[in-house]
Amino acid sequence: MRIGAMVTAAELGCSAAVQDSFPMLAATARQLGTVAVRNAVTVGGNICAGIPAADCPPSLAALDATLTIVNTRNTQLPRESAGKWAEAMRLSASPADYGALVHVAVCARMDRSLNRWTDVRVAIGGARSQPSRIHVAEQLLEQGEWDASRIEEAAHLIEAEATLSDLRASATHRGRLAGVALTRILNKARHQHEPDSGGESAR
Amino acid sequence: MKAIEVSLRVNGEPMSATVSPNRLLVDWLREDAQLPGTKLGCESGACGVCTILVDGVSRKSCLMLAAQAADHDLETIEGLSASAQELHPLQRRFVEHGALQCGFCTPGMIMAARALLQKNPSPTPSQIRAGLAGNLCRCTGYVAIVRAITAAAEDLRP
Repeated sequence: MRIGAMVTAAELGCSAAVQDSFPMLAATARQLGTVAVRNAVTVGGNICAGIPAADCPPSLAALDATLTIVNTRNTQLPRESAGKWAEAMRLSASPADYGALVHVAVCARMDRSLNRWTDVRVAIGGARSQPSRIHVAEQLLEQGEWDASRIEEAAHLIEAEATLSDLRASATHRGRLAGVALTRILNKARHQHEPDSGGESAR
Repeated sequence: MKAIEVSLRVNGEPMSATVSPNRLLVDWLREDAQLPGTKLGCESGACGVCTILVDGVSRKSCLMLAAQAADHDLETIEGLSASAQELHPLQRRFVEHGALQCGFCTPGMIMAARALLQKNPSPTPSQIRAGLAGNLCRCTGYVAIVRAITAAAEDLRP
């Protein structure tokens, strides 16, 4: 799928094609700001504004999106990440807040033959000076079953990656939020894909 | 900075103007087009008092330059009722339900509600609250506003 830079958040969130292929990205767009802001915000602007708490970059990073930055000579082709499980979560003081305190986005493929999650992507926004993939958590989550202890360990890893402190929240607080968001996302994946695993409820 | 010639429609009237590239749309509406019903609050997209419709879709006029409105169709609170003697159902219901106190947020609230009702003529209270999430009221509170919009939606349904 190719998404033009001038597509608005409202269009992205309501597009049948995006909802069908990348429901996590559509949900990210629908949670961005408020109605009249979503009617104005463009995907290109949301990325290029370079704001640490921007909504789209973590979800796009988790989906392995590539940017095609156009000049007169150079173009790049996007890679495919359809067919993977994906979920994103935005935590903010209120929807009208300028930016989220933390975004966490996860994308992964369930390999049925190995009964394991592969191609795991974990991205965080708002908690560092730039949206970032958290490779240590990705590696851990590719090593085995997403049981309670692995999820807890992944949450601790992402917690440690929050470094941004400002007047809205400390890095410690953002880290805790990121850990909670990741735990909820991973539990959701686990319960959707392993209905018999039972037990643990989302933190 | 070189001035820009724009032509646009405001409340159905064709208008043309020469604007500085850095002129905010809300300032142009209030000061140049003499339509001060649209208010200016936070000037950063958070409070919603400057909400207008651009091509039927809600936008914050403090987050648009006047030059960006070129060739678009704008609707402000002044364009809502057919004449100065009558109120639009949204305005009438706001009055009847006491959905305003100081009134500063009201034009933005009503325009956001109008955009919502055009897309969804029968919104639930929670859909109304989601539709108004970008419009802040600091005195009356939202209960009466949600009731007024629910009543206006009934008036407006065919």
